Amino acid sequence: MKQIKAKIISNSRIKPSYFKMVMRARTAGPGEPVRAGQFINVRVTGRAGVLLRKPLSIYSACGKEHSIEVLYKVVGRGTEVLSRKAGGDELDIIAPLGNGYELPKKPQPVILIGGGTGTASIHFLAETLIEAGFSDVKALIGARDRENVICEKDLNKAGCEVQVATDDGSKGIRGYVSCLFESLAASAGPSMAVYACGPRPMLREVVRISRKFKVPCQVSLEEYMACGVGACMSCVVKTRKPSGGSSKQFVYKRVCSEGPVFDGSEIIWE
Amino acid sequence: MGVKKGNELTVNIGGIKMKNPVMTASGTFGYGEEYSRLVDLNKIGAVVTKTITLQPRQGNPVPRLVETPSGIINSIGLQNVGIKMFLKEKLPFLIKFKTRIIVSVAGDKIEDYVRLAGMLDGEKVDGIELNISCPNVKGAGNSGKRNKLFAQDKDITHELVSRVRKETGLPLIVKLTPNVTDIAAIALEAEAAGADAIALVNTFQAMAIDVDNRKPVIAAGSGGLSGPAIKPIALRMVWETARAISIPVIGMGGIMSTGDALEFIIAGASAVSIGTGIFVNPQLPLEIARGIRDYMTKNRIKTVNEITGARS
Ligand SMILES: Cc1cc2nc3c(=O)[nH]c(=O)nc-3n(C[C@H](O)[C@H](O)[C@H](O)COP(=O)(O)OP(=O)(O)OC[C@H]3O[C@@H](n4cnc5c(N)ncnc54)[C@H](O)[C@@H]3O)c2cc1C
Ligand SMILES: Cc1cc2nc3c(=O)[nH]c(=O)nc-3n(C[C@H](O)[C@H](O)[C@H](O)COP(=O)(O)O)c2cc1C
Ligand code: FES
Repeated sequence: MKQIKAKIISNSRIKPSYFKMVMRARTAGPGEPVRAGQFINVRVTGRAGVLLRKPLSIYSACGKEHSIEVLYKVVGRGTEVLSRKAGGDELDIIAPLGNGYELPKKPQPVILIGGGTGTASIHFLAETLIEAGFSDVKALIGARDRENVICEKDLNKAGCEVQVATDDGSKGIRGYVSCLFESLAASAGPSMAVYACGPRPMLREVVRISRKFKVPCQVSLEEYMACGVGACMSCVVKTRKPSGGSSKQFVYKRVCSEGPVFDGSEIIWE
Repeated sequence: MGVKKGNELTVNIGGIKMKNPVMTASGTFGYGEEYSRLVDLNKIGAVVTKTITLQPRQGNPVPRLVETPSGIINSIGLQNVGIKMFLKEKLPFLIKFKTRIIVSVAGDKIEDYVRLAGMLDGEKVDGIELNISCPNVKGAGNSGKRNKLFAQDKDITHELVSRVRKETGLPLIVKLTPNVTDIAAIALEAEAAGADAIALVNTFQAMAIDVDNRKPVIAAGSGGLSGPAIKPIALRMVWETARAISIPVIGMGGIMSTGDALEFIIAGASAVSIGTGIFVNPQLPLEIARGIRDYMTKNRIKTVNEITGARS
C-alpha cells in the first residue's frame, strides 16, 4: 500500500457512461505485486465540494510497466470529474488496497460471475487465472441491458468463454446471471471454484447456489468507504463468528482491509 | 532558514509536549497502525486514538457514512476493540513511534470514564481525551427520545471531569460537542473541574435523505457532519472558547490546508487536529506542520504561541 502519483496514459469512453483509464506510477513503482480483487483509492481534484477518494477495482495491471487500468461507470460527482481527466494529467492514488482473490490450489474449472461494474474485478482475475495456467475459465456477466454489458470482448481476449444475461433480454439470455450460473453448476461437478463480484442480491444468490452444489465461492463486496485502509470503520459488513453460532452473533469486518474478497459462507446477508 | 529547525514548532498542551502542533482527530486515524504504511507517525505532533470504551463495541448498522457537499456525515457508533484489547494489542505498536499518544475514551455513565482513566493511568500514554460528546445513558430518564450528551450539560460535564481528575495524573483533554447553545460555558466548567486542555469541535448533528427510497441515507437516521462544510462554525466556536478559558484549546473541524490550520491558531487554538482531511490526503498532517513552519519563518515568528490567539 502506497500513496503514489500516477500519470494518466489514457482515459477513454468505451460505452455511453463507462470509461477505461490507464495510468502509470510516476513516483517509484508500487513495489509490491498487485493481485486480482484489489482496488485503488483515487483522489478526486478539480471540483469544489468533492472530498472522498473513490475506490475502483483494478481492471488490469502490469508490474514491469508500473501501470494500472481501471474501468468505471459515471454514477455521481466523483466519477464525473474523473471522466473529464485526460492523458498527461496526474492522479494521486493509494494502491494496492484490500486482500484480493485466493486462486484455486489445484487445476480445476473456474466460473467467474460479474454483475454491473463488478465485472471489472472479475476481468483481472480472469487474466491472472489464465496466466497461471488455468485452462477452463468461464465468465458469466449480468447487466440491466445491453448498454451496461461491459468487458465481454476483453474477457474473450483473455481466453474466457463468456455468457451474458440481461434483465431485459437485449443481450444474451433474459434474466439474472445467477440463472446462468445455476444451470452451469448443475451440469458441472463439485470440482470447480466460483468467484463473484457485483450487487448484493446477485452475490447472495450466487452464494446460495454454490452452497447447494457444494462448490467453494469467493465474493468481492462494495461498501461506502472513507479511508480505504481500515481506520474509520465505515465500510463494515456482517460476518459469521468463526465459532459458528446463530446469525445474531456476528462480527463486523472491514470491506476495505479485511476484504473486499470474502468466503461466500462467511457473509451474513440481510 | 535562519530559524533552527525543530524546536520552534514545539507546543505544550496541558503538559503534553509535542514536536509540532498538528494532531490526528479521534476516529479518523484508527489506532495509528492502519495508516502507518502511508504516513510517518514520527512526524505527527500527537496521535489521538479512536474512542475506546470499557467493552468492545460493534457499532451501528450500515450505511454508516455518506458524502455531502464539502462534508461527510458519519454514524459509526464507536466501533472499537475495548480497553483490554487496546492495551494488549494496539498500544504496543503505537509506542514504537516518536509521537505523543493520546487515548480517547467514552462510556455510557460517569463511572465508565473513571474506570477507563484508572486503567490508562500508569500505561505508556501521554494523555487522555474524554470524548463526552456521546449520549449519556444515565441522564436518559428525564430527557425525551434523544439522550442528552454529557457535554450538553454543564453540571454533568463538571461532575464527570472532576471525578476523572481524581483518578489520574495524566494530562486530561476534554472534547466538546458543538451541538450546544453556549460552548464557552461548557468549556469553563470543564476547566474549573480540572481539565488540562479543551478539544473542539466534534461533529454537528446532521442528516441526508435518499429521495428515491424516502429514507435517511445513514442507517441510524442521523449522524455527525465533519469536513470543510463545518469549518467556519468550528472556527467561531474555537474563538469564543479560547477567549473564555485559560487552558489550551485544540481546534478542529474541516481543516484541509495550512491556511485553515493557521486560522484556527490565530482564533486561539494552541494545536490543531486533522480528521476528514486525512481521508482525502493522508499526508495532510505532515504537510500542515511544514506549512506552519514556513509561515513562521516567513513572518519571523519564533514560537507557535506567538500567533495563538494573535488576532490583530
Ligand atoms: C472496493 C470497491 C471497488 C469498486 N470498483 C469499482 C469499479 O471497478 N468500477 C466502478 O465503476 N465502480 C466501482 N466501485 C464503486 C465506485 O467506487 C462508486 O461508484 C464511486 O465511488 C461513486 O462515486 P461518485 O462520487 O461518482 O458517486 P456518489 O455521488 O458518491 O454516489 C453515486 C451513487 O453511487 C453509490 N456509491 C457511492 N460510493 C460507493 C461505493 N464506495 N460503493 C458502492 N456504491 C457507491 C452511491 O450510493 C450512489 O447511489 C467500487 C467500490 C468499491 C468499494
Ligand atoms: C468517520 C469519523 C469517525 C469519528 N469518530 C470519532 C470518535 O470515535 N471519537 C471522537 O471524539 N470523535 C470522532 N470523530 C470526530 C472527529 O474526531 C472530529 O472531531 C470531527 O470529524 C471534526 O473534524 P474534521 O472536520 O477535521 O473531521 C469522528 C469523525 C469521523 C469523520
Ligand atoms: S473505509 Fe475506512 S475502515 Fe474501510
